[in-house]
Amino acid sequence: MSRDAILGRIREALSVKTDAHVREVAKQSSHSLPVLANGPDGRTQAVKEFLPFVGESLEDHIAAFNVLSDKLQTEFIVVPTIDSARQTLDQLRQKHQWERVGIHDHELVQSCVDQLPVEFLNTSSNYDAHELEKCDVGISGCDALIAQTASALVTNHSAGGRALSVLPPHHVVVADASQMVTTMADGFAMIREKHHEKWPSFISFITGPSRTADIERVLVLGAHGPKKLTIIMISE
Amino acid sequence: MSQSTNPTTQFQTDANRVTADVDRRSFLRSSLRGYQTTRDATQERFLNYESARIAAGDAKWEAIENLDVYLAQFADKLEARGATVHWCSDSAEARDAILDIIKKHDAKSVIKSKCMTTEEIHLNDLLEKEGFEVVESDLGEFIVQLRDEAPYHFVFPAMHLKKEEINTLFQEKLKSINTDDPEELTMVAREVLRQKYLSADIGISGANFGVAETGMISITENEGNARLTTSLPKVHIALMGIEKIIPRLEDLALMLPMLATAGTGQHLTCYNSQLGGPRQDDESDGPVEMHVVLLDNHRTRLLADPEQRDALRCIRCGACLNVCPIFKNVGGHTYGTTYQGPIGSVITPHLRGLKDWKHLSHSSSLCGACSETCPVKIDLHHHLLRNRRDAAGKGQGGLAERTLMLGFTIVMRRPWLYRLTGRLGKLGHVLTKPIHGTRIDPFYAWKKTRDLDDPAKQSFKQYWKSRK
Amino acid sequence: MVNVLERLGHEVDYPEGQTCCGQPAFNSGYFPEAKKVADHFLDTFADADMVAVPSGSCTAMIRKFYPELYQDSPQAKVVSELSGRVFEFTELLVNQLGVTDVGAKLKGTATYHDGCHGLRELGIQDAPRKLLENVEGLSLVEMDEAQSCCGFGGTFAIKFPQISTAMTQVKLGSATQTEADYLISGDPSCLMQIGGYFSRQKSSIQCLHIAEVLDQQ
Ligand code: SF4
Repeated sequence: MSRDAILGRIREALSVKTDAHVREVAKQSSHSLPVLANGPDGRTQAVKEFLPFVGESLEDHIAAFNVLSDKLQTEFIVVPTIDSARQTLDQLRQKHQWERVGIHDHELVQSCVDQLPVEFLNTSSNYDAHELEKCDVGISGCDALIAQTASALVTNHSAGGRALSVLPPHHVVVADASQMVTTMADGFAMIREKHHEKWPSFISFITGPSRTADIERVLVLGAHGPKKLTIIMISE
Repeated sequence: MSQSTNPTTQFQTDANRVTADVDRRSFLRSSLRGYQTTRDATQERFLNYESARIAAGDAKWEAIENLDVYLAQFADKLEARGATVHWCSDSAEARDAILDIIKKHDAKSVIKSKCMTTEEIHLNDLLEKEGFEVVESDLGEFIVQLRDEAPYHFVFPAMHLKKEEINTLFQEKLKSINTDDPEELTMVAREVLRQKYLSADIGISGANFGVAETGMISITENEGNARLTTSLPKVHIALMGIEKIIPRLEDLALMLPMLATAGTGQHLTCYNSQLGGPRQDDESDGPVEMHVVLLDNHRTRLLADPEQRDALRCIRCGACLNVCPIFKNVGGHTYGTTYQGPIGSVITPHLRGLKDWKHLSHSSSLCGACSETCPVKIDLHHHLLRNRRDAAGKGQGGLAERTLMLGFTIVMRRPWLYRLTGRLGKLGHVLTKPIHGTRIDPFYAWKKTRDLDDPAKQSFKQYWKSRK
Repeated sequence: MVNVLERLGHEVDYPEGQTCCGQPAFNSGYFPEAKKVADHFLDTFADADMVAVPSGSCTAMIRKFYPELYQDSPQAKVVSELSGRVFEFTELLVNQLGVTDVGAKLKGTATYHDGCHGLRELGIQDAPRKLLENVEGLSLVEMDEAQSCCGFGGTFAIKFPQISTAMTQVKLGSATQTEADYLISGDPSCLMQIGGYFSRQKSSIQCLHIAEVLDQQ
């Protein structure tokens, strides 16, 4: 079979060791540098020691998340309680005239939207994508917020499937402060812990509203996905 | 880019045309300058960008040097979760595999998100010939597809076009309103494509990485088109080169920011999604089938080269194009390859034959800007040199060049002859004065655009003697 | 270069048997041929304490590429020792001899072009600038495209004259913007390319090798 043929060719090719000189180049640098040990720990650590520093405390993380969100044009709102999250959502509803709202079975989401006077579409079981497309907004949970990149980390479990967070023109994420982590590696670790050997089929880091700059490098939001991204974090 | 002319001639001709187009060149340059400014600022945020490059480069070395193990692991994990993996030795096999899946589902329309590998195997041509509707959903790709053109740059496919040209195109092909506002133009495309996602039977994507440990592909994008392509149609086909593997999931935490920083200057692109398998039992949407088509297509030939397998570590960020003075002045189409710029010049001779593509290795001043910027530290410009060595070793330089080099060696090893040549050169310079500026002047290629100083009256050697 | 070094009190010898480092052949892919020329270089310079080279490109050839050329040869050791003693002129002055002011004078404004080999193979960037900043009467202005290739690249300039020239055109535009009187560089080949094009375009910018500048009294 082709599998054996290709793997065989790879093995044969690799029977000759990489030229030492070329291998060295990838390690050299004109500056003197700290280089961490190779292997998984070395690289996870690299994420901490080489990538941008965003502090240790929750306050630091929120501050960093805020700065990047501004740049990304993500609307990042920190509210004290679930109650205030409800109010925020209701204000958003009025402002953007939401009538149909996509949601899913998610404790935090459910408790935030239970009083919204709108029509709901729940994507936690079979649903019609055409109906979802007609929704004004999709409201979902997430697995983590990543301080280093201002991303919301979602899976199809935490975000009501693959499409809820990308098909409607506005995506709202609700999260609580305990979900804020430092790096993407921390985010992966959380998912690893939660799902162990049964990974969800879809994981995504969402970093700002959909965008393109394909025409003369001019930034346009909402190329195909949501034009707006709102992240509401409950701090208590 | 006609297929009939040989690649070297086509390159020279197109290079002549583009370098003469001062306006287009400065348009390219100014847009790449914008890229450079954003990227520099993003790099600045790193605690240590140099070390991050080394670490990212290491992750890819580990993958490439153990590719057999990791690739098998990747496939096994994916299959365990219900995906089908197809192993294809060349373009034809990959095309057949994809066509089979599409036919089996009785599909009519196909939506695609950006995937250079499908360009490599000329998938669109085949599918259209077979009567399927194929729509590129990435905005840049969508634009070049409407123009019936190849992508200009493998990260910025439509970077050569001005908004006025896109306006004309959209009016003509989409009957759209008259506007050259990039936002309005984008919205025109958005509306057209929305409907396609909902109705397409098949979604085809590429993959930026394949995670061996967990059996997932990772797709990096900004627009959300890849997410829609892999969420809505009932079948998802991903085509990926076998070199895209990385060992562990956590490696992405480094690779994704590196790809974004080097690629577009963003700290992270908008969507970075990992897909492992079709819709699972406890999930509410997603394709019912997922196929991953693995493509060799001479990558193993490159892998067998103990020096240049280095180039298989490429994460296709496009940074080397963005800083390359050759790319900036000849543009993307001149290359005539799927992968443009320095990385294209390095790998194309391996993928498609050195004899026809060695000119790409010579069309470089070896300035090294590419290697300096590559986020995984591929020794790009030295590989161009190694390609030159291999071409010369096979006698592909031609007789004249070989003779010249032989002469060079003989002269340079004999100081008396070197001196004599210097004097003869001066004499020659005087004797050829009448033909200077004409085509038979031995320095014609130089002097057409540049002056050449008259040789110094006194050589340094003579001066040195007189000093004593 | 000789004048400057002697003024600083160093003994300079010019071995008259010297020719070329072999780079033209090497860069064209003719490694065995380049190696033969390199053999001659080794014979000529084997005894020198330090070799000063007025070109980043030739220095790079000797220091970076000779070791690769002689990778598996019996001379590998000789080569690696010698290549440690070969320095480009400005790095020799600044990094080896600790000199940043050679007491030169030149009136006007200058912009510096980084030769690619000096910059990227050897990492030379600050040394020439330090030296130029201390030239009396000279002010240094950076151009946007200081680190872009001038377009020379050896046989590339002949094989692809159109691309090569386009690159120099960019350089001219950028240098002109700075309104400099001089364009200074540490590499004769870049200067041949840039000078040749500038003079054809009737630019008033004068192209000088840094050694010429440092020699001005
Ligand atoms: S060779 Fe390096 S810089 Fe060029 S596309 Fe690949 S990863 Fe990016």
